[in-house]
Formats: sequence, C-alpha cells, structure tokens
Amino acid sequence: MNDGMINQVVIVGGGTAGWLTAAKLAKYLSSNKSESVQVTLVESPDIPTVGVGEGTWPTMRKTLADLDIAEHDFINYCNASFKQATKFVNWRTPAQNGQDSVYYHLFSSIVNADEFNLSPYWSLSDKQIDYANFASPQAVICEGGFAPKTIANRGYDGLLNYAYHLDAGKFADFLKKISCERFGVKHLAANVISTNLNASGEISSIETKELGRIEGDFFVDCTGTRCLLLGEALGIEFTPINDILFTDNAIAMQVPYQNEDDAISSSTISTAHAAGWTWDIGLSNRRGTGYVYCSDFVSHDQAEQTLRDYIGPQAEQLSARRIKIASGYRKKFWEKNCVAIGMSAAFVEPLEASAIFLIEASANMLCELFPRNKKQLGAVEKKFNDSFEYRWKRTIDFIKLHYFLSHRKEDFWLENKSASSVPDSLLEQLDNWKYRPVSRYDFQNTFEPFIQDSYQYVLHGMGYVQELGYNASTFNQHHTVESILKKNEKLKQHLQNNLPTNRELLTKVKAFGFQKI
Amino acid sequence: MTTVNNDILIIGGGTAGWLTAAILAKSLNSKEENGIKVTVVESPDIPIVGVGEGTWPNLRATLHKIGVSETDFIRECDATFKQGAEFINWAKTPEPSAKESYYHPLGTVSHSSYDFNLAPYWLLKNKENRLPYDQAVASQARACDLGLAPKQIVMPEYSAAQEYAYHLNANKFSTFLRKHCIDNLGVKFVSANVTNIVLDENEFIKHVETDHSDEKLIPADFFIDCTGSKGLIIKQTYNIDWHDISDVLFNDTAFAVQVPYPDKKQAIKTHTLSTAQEAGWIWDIGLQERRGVGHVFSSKYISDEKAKQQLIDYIGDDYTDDLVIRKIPIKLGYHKKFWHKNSVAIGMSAGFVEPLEASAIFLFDAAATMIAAQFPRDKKQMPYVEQQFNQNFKVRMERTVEFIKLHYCISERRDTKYWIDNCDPVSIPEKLKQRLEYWKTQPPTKFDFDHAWEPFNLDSYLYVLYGMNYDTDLSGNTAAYPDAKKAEKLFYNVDRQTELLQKQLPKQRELVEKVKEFGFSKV
Repeated sequence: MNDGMINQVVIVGGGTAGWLTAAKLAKYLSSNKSESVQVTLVESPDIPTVGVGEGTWPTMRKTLADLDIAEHDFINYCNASFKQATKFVNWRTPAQNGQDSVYYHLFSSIVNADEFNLSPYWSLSDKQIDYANFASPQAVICEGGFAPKTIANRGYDGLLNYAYHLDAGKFADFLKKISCERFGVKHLAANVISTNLNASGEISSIETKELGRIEGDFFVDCTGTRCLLLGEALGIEFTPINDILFTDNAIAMQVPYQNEDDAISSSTISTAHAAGWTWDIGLSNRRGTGYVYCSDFVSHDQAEQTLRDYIGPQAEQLSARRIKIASGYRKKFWEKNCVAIGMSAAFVEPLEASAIFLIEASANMLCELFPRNKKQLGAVEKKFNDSFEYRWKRTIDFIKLHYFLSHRKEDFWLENKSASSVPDSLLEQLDNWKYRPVSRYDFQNTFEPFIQDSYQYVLHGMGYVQELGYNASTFNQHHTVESILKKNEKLKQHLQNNLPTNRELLTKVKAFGFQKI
Repeated sequence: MTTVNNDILIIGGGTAGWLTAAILAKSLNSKEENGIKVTVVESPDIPIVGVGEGTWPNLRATLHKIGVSETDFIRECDATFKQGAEFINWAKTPEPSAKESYYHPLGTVSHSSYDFNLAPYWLLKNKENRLPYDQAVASQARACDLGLAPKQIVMPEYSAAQEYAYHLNANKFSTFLRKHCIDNLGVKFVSANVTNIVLDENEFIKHVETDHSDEKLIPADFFIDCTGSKGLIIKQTYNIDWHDISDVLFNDTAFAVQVPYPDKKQAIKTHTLSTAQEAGWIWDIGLQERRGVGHVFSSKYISDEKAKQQLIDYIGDDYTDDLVIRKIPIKLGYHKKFWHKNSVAIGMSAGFVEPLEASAIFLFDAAATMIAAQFPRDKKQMPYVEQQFNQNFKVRMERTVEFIKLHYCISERRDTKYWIDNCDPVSIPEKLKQRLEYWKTQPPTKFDFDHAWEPFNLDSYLYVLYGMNYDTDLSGNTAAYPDAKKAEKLFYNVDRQTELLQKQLPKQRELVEKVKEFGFSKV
C-alpha cells in the first residue's frame, strides 16, 4: 500500500550529526509508539567518526533539556566542560615583545545589542578598556577560569550564558544510548554498498553488505564528506569555497592534563599562526588541540611542528592525527525524499564552532516541518534549502571576517585580504560599518546564525576602525550608558566573588549533580 | 562640498509627518547644537485625511521613547485602549439570526507559540465541542468579550496586564505630536505650501520653494515626503512606478462618519469591530466621546447609494440626519521604491493597504524608526541604506497585502460576486497560495516566518486561519503531537487566567474616566 505517507525514516550514518538528528526526530515524532513514524539509523561498524567537533553553542542547553537529559548525566558521560567564549589570540597582530594580542567573543553581554547598543559609545570612548570588558562581565570571568554558574543553580540555568566543550565520540555514544532506549530508534550496524531509486527519482532503499536491503520513505544523509545519498546517489554537486576560506588540513593532538588540579579553560582558545590557527579546548579529562592550516603556505611537517611548539615539551610523547578538510557546501541540502545533515551538507572550518550548531538547527527544522505525507515534500524542500543556503553563506561571511580584518603580514594572511577572496555581501557591510554602528536592521532573517553582538565582539576585538565622531550627537543616551556600565562593574565583582572555577564546578557536578529543572 | 547630512526637511504634517518628525528628532538629538536638524513644512490649507484611528502595540514603545506621557496622550487625543479586532460575518455567509465572529487579539498567545504551539492540539480536539480557537489559546478574546480594559489605574504608564494599543482621534493626535515636536524636541515648524521642488544636476533635491514670506526657499540634505496620496516628491517629482494591487484587494471607496454616544456613560468596546458586508466591510471604533464608523467597499460591486444605506443600517438607532457622511476614494497599492536619491516617502505617499488590520500607523512608525536607526549621517552610506530600506519595506508591503487578502480568500461566503471573486485563485498572491496549500496538512510554524521584520507573525496567522475555520487536516500525523497533557494544562491555564483578569481589571469606560481624572503614575 502506498498512500504517500512517510512512515519509515532511515538515517544513514551515526556520529554527532546522525545521532543528534535521530534523537530529536524520534522524540519529536514519538517514534516509541508503533503507530508513529519509525526512525532507523544505519551505522557502519567499520568507519570511525571524525569526532573533532568539540565546541558547541548555548543552543545545546535547550537541545539537551528538550531531550529530557539531566545536565550532569551529559557532562559526566561526555567529559564535558563549560564554554563561555572563544578567546582569540594573536589574530589582530602577532605577539609583540612576548605580548599576545587578545580579544574575546563572548556569549553574554550586559545588554543585548538589539535592545540597547553600547557599541557606538565604546567606539567614541577613549577605549581604555577593551570592548569585551566594556560590554560584558564575562571576559574577566573567562580570564579568571571561572564557571558560568554554581552547583546550586539548576540544570541548564546559568548566571552567565554558556555552552559546552565535549568529547564528540562520547557524545555520539551518549545520544545513541538515549535514542535507542528512550525514543525508540532502531540501530542497525551495516555498511552501505549502494542506493536504489524509484521511478520518480526518490530513494527507495539502500543495499548493505551485512543486512541486505533496507527500505524507507525518507532518508537522512549523515555520511559525512562521502555524502553517499545526496551526493553520490542523487547527484547534488558540491560547491567548494576554498577561494574564500583557504585552510585545507588540520592536525590534531589530545593533550592530557599534567596535574589533577590544572585549570580548565572556560573558553575555546584560538591562536593565529603563520598559515592558520590552533584550537585548544579543555575537556574535564584532557585538552583537545589542533592546527587548522592551508598546505599551500606551510608543509605538513612544519604544521605539525607549529602545533608541537604551541603545546610545549609535553608534546614529545604525543602522537598527531592529520585530517584533510574541504570547505564548501552542497548546491542543495534537501532533494526529493532525502536531506543531508552534518558534514554531508557542508563543512566550514571550525573557527566559530558552527558545525554542531548547524546540525541542531537542521534537525530542528526537519522535526517541525516534517513532511508526514509525500505531497508536502516539494514545499518543505524549498523552504529548507532557501533557509540553509542563507545560513551557510552567512556563516562563511562571519568566518571570513576574522581573517579579513587581521593585520598579520604573513603570505597566508595577506592573501586572505585580497578583494577577490572576500564575498561581496561582507565587503558591502564592512563598507557601511565604517561610518555607522552595526544595526539590528543588518540582520533581516529570523534565523541568522551570527547575531549583532557576535559581529561587534569580532569587529571591535579585531580593531576595526569606525569613524563615528562626525555623528557623535546622535549617540546621546549618556545616562543610560553610565548606568549600564555601573551595573556591569558591579556584576563583575559579584560574579568573581561567587563563582567557582570551571574545574571546581566540574568536580562537584561529578560528585553531586545539579538539581533537576 | 559637505559630505554630511545635517538637515532633514519633512514635507507634510498629519500623523505620518509628525510621528516621523518626533521619532527622528528624538533619536537624532535635534535639540543639541550639533544634532541633526528636523524641519516640518505643513500646508495650512490642506486638511489631513485623519481616518486612521487604530494602532498597534508598538506605538506604546514609540510614545514612551519620544518622551510623551501616556496620561496626556489619552486625555488630549480622545484615545481609548484597543486589544484586538473582532471579525464579524467574515467566515461564512451570515444567517439572519446568528452572529458569527472571531477575534484577532493583539497579545501573543501567553505560552508563546514559538516555544510550544497549541494550534495542532486545538486542531486535534473534537470539532463538535471544542472552544473556538481564539477563546481556547489565550485569555484576551474573552477579556474583549467582557469589555475589560487591559490594565489597572495603579499600573505605570505604558505597562500592561494584557497587550494593548489605542484607538485615537487622528486629527487630535497630529496636533498633539506637533506641539510635542516643537515644544520639547527641537523641531522647526513652517506653516506654508510647498510650491516647487528644485533638483541639482544629479537629480538630488537641493531645496524646496514655498509661499511663506520669510521661508521662500528651504534647503536641506534629506527630504521626507509625507504629502499623502499626492506624493509631491515620490510621484510628482520622481515619478516612481506604482504597484497596483487592485487585482488582489478590491476595495476602492470608503464612507466615514462620526457617531456621538447618545449616553455619555455608554460602554466603550476595547477592540475594533469589523463587520463584513456584501461588497466590503464596516469598521466601528470606540473613542471617548464618539465612535468612528465607516464602510470600505468596492464600487465595482455595489453602488454608492447602496453602500451608504448599508452604513446607515449598521448604525441603526444611533444614526441621525445631521451626521455628515464623508466619501473618501482609496487607491490601494504602493510605489516600487520608497527611498530615492536623498528622499524617502512615509505614509500614504508611500502606499496604502486597506485599513482592515490597522497597519497604516504601524508602518509609518516602523519606517521612521528604521530611518532613525540607520540614518546616513555620511552621504557615502546612502546607497546601502536606500537599498536596505527599499528591500525591507517591499517585504513589509507584500506581507501586509497577503495577510489582508487572507481574510477574504479563505472565507466561505458565497452570497455575492464580491466574495466569490475574492476567493478566485487568480486573485491570490503566489506566496500566500503556497502557504495555504502547505497549511492544509500542517499548521503554520515559526519557520514560515523567516523574515525578521515580517509585519504579521505566526500568532496573527493562527488567529485568522483558525478563526475562519481553515481546515488543516492533521489526521495522518497525530503521533507528531504527543504532548497532549502539557497542552491540556495550558488550555486550562487560560480559563484560570481569564477568571483572574475578570476579578482584577476594570471596564474600558471606567479606566478611561479614571485616567482623565487621576492619570497613571509616571514611569
């Protein structure tokens, strides 16, 4: 019988993308009831997950809460820690006389920019204090290694906005367990050999080595860069963006803590180097580090040496793993009865930890617009594709912004400033922001991946020069500003006095857990 | 040559002109010596149209921002509180005995449909014994039925127990704003007729000429056209193309009349009444001293005489022969761009969509607020701001037209050719058609509204769709809505909240009288 109903969803590929989508979809559609849509996830027992996506956005808190997961269970299982920012080191200029150039892109601001924008007041000030400290209490908290909350706060509540650092391999395992045990996802271990299409060009089934044919009404492609369904079977092409974002390789190392009480950073530390940048992410049990670089400007060996130098003497006993990366996105993400989520859809270098966020966003949209009947496919396909093309392009613009504003002089960095490598949409905005502050009207979409606050942290942090002096009279709310700044200083003091360090809080979470919501 | 925009000239007063002046002068600090100067030139001879009597809740934030006291505003503009609109006889052909209506309240649903959408749970209830959608998901429709005001006298100015806007006397509102602009915000006022607009070699406006003896020539850097449908700049100077929408929305004429209350103590409705007719609809707005009533209709489907008679019949016993019925031609549509060179059109000069959802004053306010936020102090910024503004307002206009059309095109009325033609698919804009098709098997979600400045949001669509009995069939997908318990609890909370409101809120007339006597406490 075929009345066009979609009853069987097959997710091909596990990893963070596959299991997060499975969990969200199965929960949303009540797959643990037999009369509902059934979700099956087919995962190769042989292909290891890439598992480098170790930073998330604050949206992850809502994602986990919606899945009825206790925050401490997640933290303890995934060796997670609290992330409150990205700390950008030496992006503006290289270190001078041993002095790093540093700025923060924070998750909390003292007041949201679309309610009251402090940015022009900072631009017009003497800039004795940097923008992040001017506009938020969170920079000093990060700098001091403090957590965003105390053990007395309930799960997912924070005194400051926060996200997580996590072990992506463990996270996929954790979601797998929950998806199968609680939400009724069926897990099959098998290698996909080929894909079968029906007369109207939709995917009707996949052939596997171990289990033969697996049929479905709707397919989610989470096969990573191989993109077996959307790319190979349905022929949707890949648009590379290496003319905009040049990095093509990453070399990764896991670094154990040397002492049990070593501080755990509450921000992702991103440090610029001659031909790229290193990430440094503190989990509860180890650090994850890596160098993302462009091989046109540095050899693999030199790159590995850069990472080892960054880590220091400790690196001698450690082995490194190299991963090729190809930045770009598919011309469509949704085609007929198949949608790609995760690296099968697109990959943009992990500078702003957008990967997991965009998986969450894709899965959310898939859930809420889930086409229960094939009649709806066309309309949802268009909506999804339009929305995500926009979101990926805006993500690319925002990443490029970090490179374009740098004053570094190495070839890699100079090349990054060549006009031909910068999207027009970004150039146009920068042109405007020279003479006026960033405005909420610059963000026309409800689903902008990066908001006004984010742009302002990066623009001001990178030392982008705005000329507002000629228009100073327009920014006249001095009383309001004064009272906000006072509040900010008070809050800084209060938080410093009351927050535990990231390490202290994680130890307590292990021992006691948070209160349930 | 200077590259800085320092002087703004607004041509035309009225609600559009004076509201724009106030927002710009306040935001751009015109009172300061180095602030941007705002001048309004208003004709002493041309009366303002002044029928725009309904507003949206954003006006509260705007009045607060420009430094107006709510008490003064209510006292001086004959204003009352508005909490929504009731649409009577829109959904189906009316039967003589039974009135059939639904509300589009101003408050978003209390649980916020963005986090948890009650609509599918309402749709899955038994059609025979469920409450109407507007009554089921929020308390405001019920509060309107009871004539309750949205707040208490002890609450500070502009704060609300239930979201609200105002009904106001547009003539008094313009006068009130003019005084505030001149006395408190540093706006310069010239009472004169503009006789000529003078362009430079690049077709930018250099200055305007007037019939004022001391102000024969007024130069400025930036010009705002608030001259109403005349469009002195946008139409007569630049001749910007017009986008006609008469193939979508058919109404082209209005009859308006002011009806005094026979009894000074008479209850005042806390919402706009909109009653569908054979070839149009009648608005009914309760101010302090009188009602504003009018019939908007399509002259292609009904004669003036008959339309006027329907209006008189509607007013019934309150109609007396001395009342003056004014005829107002309306031209629906908008210009293909609003910002051109160093000018922008705000108000009816930019375009007009019929007043069914009271979007006019909202759009003036939104336009002025956007210009204030992005004002190109440096001339180099102008092309970008122009492009942003034009794009943004094109979307707002299109979405407004679609939302108004929604009220007509999903109606089951088939009693006249007017209603039959209104439901003809060729008259429905493509995007609306697509949405409606999609909503046949799936309720609207936040993903249908991805433009940040969409004038009508998810809640508004839900109220109208399900108020009009739009048939979204979820029977194939019931399992996707497993949170029935949570939904039941929220439905129950609406009952509880209504009981509370009923205990705490005064009636509209009572609150208005108290405001007049005592005023609210200042913020």
